[in-house]
Amino acid sequence: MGRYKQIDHTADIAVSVSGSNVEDLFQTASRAWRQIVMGNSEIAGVESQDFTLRSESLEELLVECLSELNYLLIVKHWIFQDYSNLHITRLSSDYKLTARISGEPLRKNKHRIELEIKAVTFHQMNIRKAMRHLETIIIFDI
Amino acid sequence: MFAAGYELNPITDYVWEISPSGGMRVPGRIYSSRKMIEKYLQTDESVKQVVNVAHLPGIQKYSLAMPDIHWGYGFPIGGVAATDIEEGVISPGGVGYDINCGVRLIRTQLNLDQTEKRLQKLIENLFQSIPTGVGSSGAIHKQSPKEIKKILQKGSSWAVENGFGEATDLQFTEENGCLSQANPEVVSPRAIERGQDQAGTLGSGNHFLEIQVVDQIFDEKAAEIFGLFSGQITVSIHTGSRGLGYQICDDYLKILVKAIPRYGISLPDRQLACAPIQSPEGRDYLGAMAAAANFAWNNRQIIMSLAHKSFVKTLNMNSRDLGFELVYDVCHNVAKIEEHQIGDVRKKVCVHRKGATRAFPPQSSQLPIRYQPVGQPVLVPGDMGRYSFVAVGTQQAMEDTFGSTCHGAGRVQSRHQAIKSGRGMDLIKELKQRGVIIQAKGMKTIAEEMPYAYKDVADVVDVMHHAGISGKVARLRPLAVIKG
Repeated sequence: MGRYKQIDHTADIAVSVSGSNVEDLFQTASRAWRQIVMGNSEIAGVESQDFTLRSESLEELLVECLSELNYLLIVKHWIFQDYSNLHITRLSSDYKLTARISGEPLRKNKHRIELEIKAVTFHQMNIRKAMRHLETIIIFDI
Repeated sequence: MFAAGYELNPITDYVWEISPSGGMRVPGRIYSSRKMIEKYLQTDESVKQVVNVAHLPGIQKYSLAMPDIHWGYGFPIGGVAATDIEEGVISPGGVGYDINCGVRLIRTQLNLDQTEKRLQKLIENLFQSIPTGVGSSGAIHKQSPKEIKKILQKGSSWAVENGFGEATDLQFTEENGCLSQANPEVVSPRAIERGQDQAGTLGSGNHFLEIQVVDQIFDEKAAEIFGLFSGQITVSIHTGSRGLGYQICDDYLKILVKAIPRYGISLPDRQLACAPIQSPEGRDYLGAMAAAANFAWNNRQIIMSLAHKSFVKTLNMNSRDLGFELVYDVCHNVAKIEEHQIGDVRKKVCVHRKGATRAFPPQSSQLPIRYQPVGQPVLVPGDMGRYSFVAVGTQQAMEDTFGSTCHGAGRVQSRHQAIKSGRGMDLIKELKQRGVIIQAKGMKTIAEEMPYAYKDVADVVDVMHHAGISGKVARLRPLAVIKG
């Protein structure tokens, strides 16, 4: 299972994420995002929906993915809990993510959004191999 | 002296220059004091960002940084760059995610004695009437996409037409609260969706509404013309274009990153993603950014009107006695087409101000007639425990900084460090001892925004005062604060 750690950044929120493979990296990055915005709120996986994204690079795909989860929360008031059947595949000119995501509608009496993320940035993002895992830094503009 | 590996040559005690090298098209100029450079810029990436910005095609005179400079996305926060509109580029990194984040200052006819006992009730009522916090919504009815497009086109005047404030408020808003280049047709449906229920909301982070008292006057004449007097109650609102602006920045960063190779632009950092101002991508970004700027002005106009109603109701006063009037509204994250003197010629340039405030001089035709004798009010908020400043623009700002000055204090501690520093402290009591009542959604925001997390804004304002860019007019002490 992947790991993440918040690192100090004066103005924004930075997190260092690692995973055993690309799916694990994305799953861990999504957990990190959820922890940052939702803190310790308990999220149930009572609803699920298809989740498909395409981008030209893995970094763009990761930014797209976290931006989409953020959009679902802020605009659709739906909180991501977890993935099932997460697959990231390389196509001839781009990358594709397919998954089913589970979560639940945001309820003011149960959940509390801890932090508003303005955007997921490309700042310092570079998915690279380190020993036997993949890692990157993600900076959230807040 | 050196900072972050770059040699800074003193031009004066408050202006430091980085000579052009490599692909730099112009020198870098940082407004700061020796003490602040030693304290804040030794390891900060922002100095390198000043150098990077100097590489932008069409940049004029200098890549500038204000004393509240810190590390940002592409451009430093506190960065100013003007590019030639024919041959230069426009960059979303030079504006920031929160397009037209800005400050609005409102004066009243109240003094501290009349208000002190009612402050708690006032701030509670303001907190009730102005949606605050993450994803805050519902200040006014959710607007249809068609209506949002009208806001994007009209800016503050949409609010006035819909009963939020007076037509005179527009005169006292930078650009009269509307950038005419706004083009709602190049704003994505998702950005519009994000704006539908956020008009009139404060948001979170460092955004705030503050009741203040004027506790020091430095320039009697300017203060009088701005309608400010010692002991007077004022209200400041600091917010921007909310999710709609963030989405526009995000959308166009993606588009402009792909445009860089198409126009053969060579950049030291891809976060400086940009396109020629005259290209389709550049024109579209300018139109979308202006639309977000208009959304932000409309937002602050609605919040002002909601605050006005709260004051009238809580204090049970009529509007005339209350005298709740706009001093000025400035934006500090924007790119605007302006005319400036470059050497011997007057030229149209695109002035990027990212964490920088316009500071136009006396007699400027852009100012309301009332302010023309002294210049533009510049609003510089500090942290919630100390003070904010009102300053005034100067002719020297026009000559040296494209009519720009500082915008705030700037963080010195990360949010994580600030929370750690506040551990074991009763933060609400701590603020109360400083004479500040706080209303916030949670303790975490209070901990993150404590005064020790920020530079002393007085140091920042003093640099620009001594550099002759913006003169100090008045100091405002916070009495009661709403945080998101």
